[in-house]
Amino acid sequence: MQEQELVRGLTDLIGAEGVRAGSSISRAYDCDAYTVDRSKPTAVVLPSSTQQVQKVIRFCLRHALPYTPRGAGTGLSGGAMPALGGVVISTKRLTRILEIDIDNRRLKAESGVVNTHITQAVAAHGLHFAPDPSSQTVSTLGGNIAENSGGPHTLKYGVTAPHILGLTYVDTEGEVVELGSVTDGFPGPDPMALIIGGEGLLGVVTEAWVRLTPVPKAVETALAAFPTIRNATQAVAGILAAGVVPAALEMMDKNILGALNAAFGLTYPEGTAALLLVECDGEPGAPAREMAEVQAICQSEQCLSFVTAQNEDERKQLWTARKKGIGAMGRLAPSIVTHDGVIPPSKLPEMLEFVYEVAAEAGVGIANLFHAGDGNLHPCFYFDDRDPKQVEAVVHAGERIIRRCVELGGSVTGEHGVGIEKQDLLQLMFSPDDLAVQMRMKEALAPGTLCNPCKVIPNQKGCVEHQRRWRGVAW
Amino acid sequence: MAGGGLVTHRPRSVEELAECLRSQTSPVQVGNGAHAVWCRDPRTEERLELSALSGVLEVRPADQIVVVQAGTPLEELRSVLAEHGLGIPDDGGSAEATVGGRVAMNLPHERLGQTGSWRDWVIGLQAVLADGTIFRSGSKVVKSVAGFDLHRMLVGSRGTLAVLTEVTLRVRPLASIPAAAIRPLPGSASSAMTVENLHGVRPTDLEELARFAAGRGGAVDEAGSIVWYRSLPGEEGPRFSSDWVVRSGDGDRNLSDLPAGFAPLLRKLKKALDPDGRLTPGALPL
Repeated sequence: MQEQELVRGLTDLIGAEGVRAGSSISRAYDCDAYTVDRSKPTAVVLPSSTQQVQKVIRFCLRHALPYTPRGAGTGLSGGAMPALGGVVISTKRLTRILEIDIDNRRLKAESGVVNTHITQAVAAHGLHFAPDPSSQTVSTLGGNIAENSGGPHTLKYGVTAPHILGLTYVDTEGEVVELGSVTDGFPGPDPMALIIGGEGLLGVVTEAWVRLTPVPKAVETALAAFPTIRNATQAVAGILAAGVVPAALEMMDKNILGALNAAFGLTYPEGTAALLLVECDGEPGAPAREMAEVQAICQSEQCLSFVTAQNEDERKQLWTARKKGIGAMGRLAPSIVTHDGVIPPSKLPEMLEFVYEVAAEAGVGIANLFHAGDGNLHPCFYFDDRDPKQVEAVVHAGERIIRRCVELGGSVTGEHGVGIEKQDLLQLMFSPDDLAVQMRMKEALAPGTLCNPCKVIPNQKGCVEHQRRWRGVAW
Repeated sequence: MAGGGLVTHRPRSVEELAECLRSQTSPVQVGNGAHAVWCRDPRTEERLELSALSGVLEVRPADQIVVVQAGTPLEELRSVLAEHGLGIPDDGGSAEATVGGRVAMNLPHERLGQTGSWRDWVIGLQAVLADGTIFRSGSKVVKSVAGFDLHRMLVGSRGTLAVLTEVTLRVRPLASIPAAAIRPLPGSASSAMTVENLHGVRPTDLEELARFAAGRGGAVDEAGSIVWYRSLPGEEGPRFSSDWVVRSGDGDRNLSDLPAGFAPLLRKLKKALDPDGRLTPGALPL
């Protein structure tokens, strides 16, 4: 279909204010935060209701146009990269909070609502939306659902899935489907479990009922510095084995500290190899007791310092080490790539040794952030992306690291999703039969090849093999 | 027919189980019948029993996971876990309950409001489809978004979509498992019992139900969201637009209230995964 005809058709359906096209639009939407690969759409639509989304999808079905849902475009695995020449269905005008039910601790929001805006809407009632991915001030509910987003508080509060009570989506046959009830805990099989984390392959989610969680009445936050990675990981194991379930347990290596020092002048005890940020929350009194246990465990692992926040300002300061660590790497090099892999927590010391080796061989800088309780590792390479050799080295190094995660019994992705980035690597974890059953499920719930095609499951019919590119330059 | 009219297949390996399913066309009841009181009588003449696929395969306290075969009695799993200072919050139900059975039924338990359900604890599994396809879903780490969460969808599928053969669970230190907030009802194993999960019910409604339940020896759990009480089959308790009901001894009415929109999707999944409807017919109202 010609671009003009397509734009006219979409405009007739949802109005000019909901349709964008042209070369600068195509360029602006040709990738998400996974910038290694790009693909230009023909048009971008911004529907403002479920019914408009349905009209667009039915239009795409009639004209055999591939379509891709997109929230804020902060995804790191290419989940929102458009199909070449297809339509992007942006949720940026689906930003209404539809219903707030404080008594029953639930809220209904359109899928374009920003994660933190949900919390803001109910904060006055002492409630919040628990999933806290690092992108939360920008990423949308729909994106969080598609990727089953995690974040530092996953350890205690879970990923996005336990917080979704119901969904409305338009399926790949153009039907509006409303799922779920106001209660959770239905004992039988749960098809929502497939849509959450479905990476936008099963349709376009337009609305969701989310569970609201009481804001804990008391919080204790501390930062411990350790002389070796092994001491830090042993402290983590000790904390978990003691039955303490911290709200967050984040580890940063000495290279992140170097960046923090360069960017913010923050300093840590001499000889620090790893920092552990621990947060405990709950009813008044309980977090302080848990933190006392945590401190004892850290001290038994030779911690060089253990600093507890005495007030909210100090708490924010301690979190700076975690929240600003990656951005701080901008002081060290022009570009960074944050990888995402999972290993059994017991394998962290040997995994980190491997990561440092890989970075050294690739000749690029590396710093590590680790959701220590979950085993979710974020190695961050810093390098100069103006040098194509460094780019290639970083991409290959990332693959070596992810392969090792699987070899150690882990996963290719803990948070960022498979998308395009990890598509081929999925075969490290799953056999052809495993993947065939996934496709059977996918085809049962979402028949057709137009909805966010050629993502997640490798070797799908008609999909051109993903090429490694950086800003359009293939190698 | 001898043995109470049921032909029992008892495969000794996953491959044998797959072959058994592949080579037969008749409907089959999956499991050892420990939870039969919760399901409608399937009127099938064959049973597929997993007691030979039993045993804990891996316990990893440092990683907080356990890998266990589906035919393992729950009691055995709990006792092996306890040796490592670990536990799983579900106490079991009956002495015959297996891990596969508990995962497949996902019945409410006394710590549901505090610790979640089997859907929150299953991080990976291996299962076999009616056509004999052996497959895995999920992983052995507590956090993974690799591929679709088929394993989470299969929790509670009551043997109707796939035969579970191996399950990977996230476990926790025994010390962290809270005391049960509610006590089992006296004689509850044998008497008819209704369990209602009332998350999301307005406080005033909960009070009304709690009063109703109290008259029948029931109790409310700490999270204020689960009321257990005893009722006879067919007896109606207060009903709310937002509850679900699991009834023992109540046959067809069990799980008759699927959440909004679930039935068509579950039928599509059933058609894709068990097109001839051979696996435990009648266990789900589809």
